[in-house]
Amino acid sequence: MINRRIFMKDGALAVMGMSMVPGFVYRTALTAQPRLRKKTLVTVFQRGGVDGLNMVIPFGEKHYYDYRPTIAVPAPSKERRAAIDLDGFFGLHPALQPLHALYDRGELAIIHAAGSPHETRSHFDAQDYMESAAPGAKNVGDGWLNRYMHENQHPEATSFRGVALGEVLPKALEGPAPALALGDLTGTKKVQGARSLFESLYDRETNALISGTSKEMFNAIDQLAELNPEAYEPANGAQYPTPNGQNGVFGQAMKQLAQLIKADLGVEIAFVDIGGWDTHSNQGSLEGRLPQRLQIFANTLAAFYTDLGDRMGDVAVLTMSEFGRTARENGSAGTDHGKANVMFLMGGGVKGGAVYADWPGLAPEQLNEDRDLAMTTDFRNVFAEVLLGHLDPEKPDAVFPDFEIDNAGFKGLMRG
Amino acid sequence: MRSKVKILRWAPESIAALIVFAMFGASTPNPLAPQDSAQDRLTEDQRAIHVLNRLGFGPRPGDIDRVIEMGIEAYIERQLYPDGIESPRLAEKLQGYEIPLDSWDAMVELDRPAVAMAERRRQSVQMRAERRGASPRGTDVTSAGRMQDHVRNRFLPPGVTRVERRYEDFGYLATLFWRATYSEAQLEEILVDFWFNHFNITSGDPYIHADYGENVIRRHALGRFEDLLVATARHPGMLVYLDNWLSTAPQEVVEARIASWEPPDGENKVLWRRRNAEYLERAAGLNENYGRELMELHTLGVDGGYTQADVQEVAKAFTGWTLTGLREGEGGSFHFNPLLHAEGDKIVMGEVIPSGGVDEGMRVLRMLARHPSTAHFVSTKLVRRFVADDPPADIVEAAAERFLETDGDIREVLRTIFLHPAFFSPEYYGAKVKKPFEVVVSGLRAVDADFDTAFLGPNFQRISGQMGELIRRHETPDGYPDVASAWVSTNSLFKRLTFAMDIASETLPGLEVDLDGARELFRRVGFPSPTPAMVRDARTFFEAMTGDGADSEGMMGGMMTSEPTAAMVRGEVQVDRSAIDYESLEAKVVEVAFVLGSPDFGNR
Repeated sequence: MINRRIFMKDGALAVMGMSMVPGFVYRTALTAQPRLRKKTLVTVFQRGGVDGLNMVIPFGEKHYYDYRPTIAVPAPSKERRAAIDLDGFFGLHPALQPLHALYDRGELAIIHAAGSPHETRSHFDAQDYMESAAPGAKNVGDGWLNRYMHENQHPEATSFRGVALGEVLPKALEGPAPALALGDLTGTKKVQGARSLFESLYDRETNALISGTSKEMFNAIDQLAELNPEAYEPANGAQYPTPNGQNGVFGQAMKQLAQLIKADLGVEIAFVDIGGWDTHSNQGSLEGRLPQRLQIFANTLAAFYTDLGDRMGDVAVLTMSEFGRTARENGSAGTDHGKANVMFLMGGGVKGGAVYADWPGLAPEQLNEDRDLAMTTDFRNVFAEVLLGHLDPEKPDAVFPDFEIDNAGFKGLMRG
Repeated sequence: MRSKVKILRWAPESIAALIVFAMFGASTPNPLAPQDSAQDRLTEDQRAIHVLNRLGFGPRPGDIDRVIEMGIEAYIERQLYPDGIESPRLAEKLQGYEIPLDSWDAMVELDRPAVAMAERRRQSVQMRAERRGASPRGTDVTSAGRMQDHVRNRFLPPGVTRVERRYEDFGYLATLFWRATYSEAQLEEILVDFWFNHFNITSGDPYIHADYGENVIRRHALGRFEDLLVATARHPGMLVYLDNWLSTAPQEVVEARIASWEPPDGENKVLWRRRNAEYLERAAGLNENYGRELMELHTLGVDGGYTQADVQEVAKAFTGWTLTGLREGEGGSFHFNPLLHAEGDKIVMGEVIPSGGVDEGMRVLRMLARHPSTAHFVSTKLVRRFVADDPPADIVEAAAERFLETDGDIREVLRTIFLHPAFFSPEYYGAKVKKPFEVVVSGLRAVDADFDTAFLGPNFQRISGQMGELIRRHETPDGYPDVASAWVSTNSLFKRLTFAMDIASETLPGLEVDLDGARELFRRVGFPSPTPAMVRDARTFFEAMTGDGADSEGMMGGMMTSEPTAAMVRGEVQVDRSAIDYESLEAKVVEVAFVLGSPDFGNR
């Protein structure tokens, strides 16, 4: 396992652990006045390879309907439930209807036929490659979001600068820069009270991964104890899907994230997972497994948007998935692992209301390996464009190993 | 609290204790950290601790001496043959196994009559099993016993209500915590966890889940890899989880075959026709999900030398591997349906698999089970589990070689790893970070916990789940990871500290701990002890326990089992801050919480 945090056992992180991190603490702990509002980039990972062709339907393609006799989503229609027309060629799955208003307002941009140049159809490799933003390079152990933070440090950074809403840290946030994983936050007061007992133990820990993580946790605990997440009331009447087993996990995570952002703790990079997209069988057209997931996805993102209100001017939400799915449905009324996919970008600074795609077409000879939507936009160029447009880092190139950012290929996703 | 703790006041012994603390105070280096080169071999104690940590879920009080007395190699050898190992304490737990309705009530909305019926059925099955003289192991009083009679060959048994199925699920998963904590066959429990994750499934149906866990995974955990592989491939849990039951020859081919097919004499023609119509409706074409994960995750590994074309050929070989019944209540065991099979030779990694119905899949499994990439991939994972995150190449090579020599005899591969000279190398001592299930179980063992269903009901999935490992519920087929970077997070650390505080103070209902035994064990291992100042501040610990009303629902509901500690937590008993009495109850609680929450204890 290659992890820079471990590699740098006695090097950079040790230095960070000894000097920089306490710096954060004092700044965070002592700053009573509201901090400068900072921009936030929220990345949402749809794990399992979502079927982008049924999220944003190319209803103008005859082949789409040939390939998908039972799971195709009907072209827009006044008479019955069908795709929601976006631009005369693409349509939104009706389960994503809660996001349609954002598209109309110009705050949701859709990028289609984006993906990885690497041919792997393994979920796990493809997810790793997307999170490291280094397709094919297994020796790259850190994630692109961590690399962004590490390469672009700034003095106002707090311990909440990089946050994953979940029990464990995703690869995208692994690396030398401090990052928090925040699951269920109950119990913070208890641990805060016993902090002096445990902190000394972790101070002498020689494993940099453990000692670094413990510092990050102890630094965050005071503010978390103050937050009182149970009492949080979303603003503007926003309604997150209620916790109901797995279905509520994404809603709870986004709700907690909204609270962290609004509390001005300095969240700059956030990462949230939503699983359940690996629809090999019975994925459904208008109803079924995929539409159900899409509905939770859309309701949650719409609630988050409503909850943050004006604050969305400072926030951009970027969604991604490791690969798309086959253009043709398989024998089980589902789809198998494919290639290019669709990404959503939403926020006040987004130049939305359009589907951005160098559309490769769906005729058999236009497909990748005669089976998948071909990739015409490298996902890294989308990452780069959003990073540059939203966070404006000093050293964007360092975020993408062995990849040259193609400014000419930018789609104009961000205003200004 | 099982052993009555005498609360001593300041006594001369405490001065000696102070000296001990000065020696082992918070400034000592991590005793379980990888050793520096100054120490070129482990001490006898360390070797015993290493074996207990790696072949099991960590030492209980007294275990180190037991292993040393038996001899370390003899202990390893014994663990490799779990069949004759008796676990009286586990047997006792499983025998008295009943879910009190109250705690069950806390888990799900309860249909009491259905649960009562399930319980009566359980008892009658148990009685019948006893009359037959059935062995209590593997087919014991828990869910497995029930399944033997009712479920083994059923996908969803008729007449079983949803509530009963959930009851079953609770029962089975709960027994895994008992087994991991109390079984003397510790290695077997480690392997059940390891192989389950290697061949991961999830199922909404707890019968399927339990049958897969016991009759597939446990049965072959130390057997031949090929047998294990075949058993997983044929199990309804896997067939459904990776969609193979729906994978067929092209629709038009199946249609034509079904149209001209006559059921054999004596068969129920109406039933067959209906069933075939259902197959046709649901399953009409290739699904490559199983074929891909079989090669990527179960055998060769993602870099094992196969292509997308191989995935499709393998998927074709498995077409027709399906279930007898497709509807709820019809029952469904493995069934090869030739009408659904894609005929013709298949070429897998350059080797021809001649057209041959169900044999094709069996040949593919046999070929994959013996492939050098599989030997290497599986050995790498085993060495990662038992030795180090970054598996040392020489041990992997030795294990892979043994794998190939013995046609994948898991016991032999393990023996090769455990007896490899590098296995006891000081650099690996304490070098693995525990995953959450290991944190929880090793914690329960270290304090020699006695816990019942009142503890398991609300906690068995909560604690490790909040650290990121909801056992047997990993959604994707890769199973839970086994490397530090996957588990060390601010969240899991935070949850581990609350766990340490809750366990040491016995504030979770249904749990009793042995603080004295734990302290003795911790000193034997060389874990750190709190400094005098920390013990003097014990009160802040107890104040903290009440500091967060919102999360102390179990604790503050009058559900505490240990009255003295509970009283302290409630603030009814004042902790004397002026005295440093290491034998006082509060000092013991603080010391045990301190160790359970330490980074040292988080490693194995």
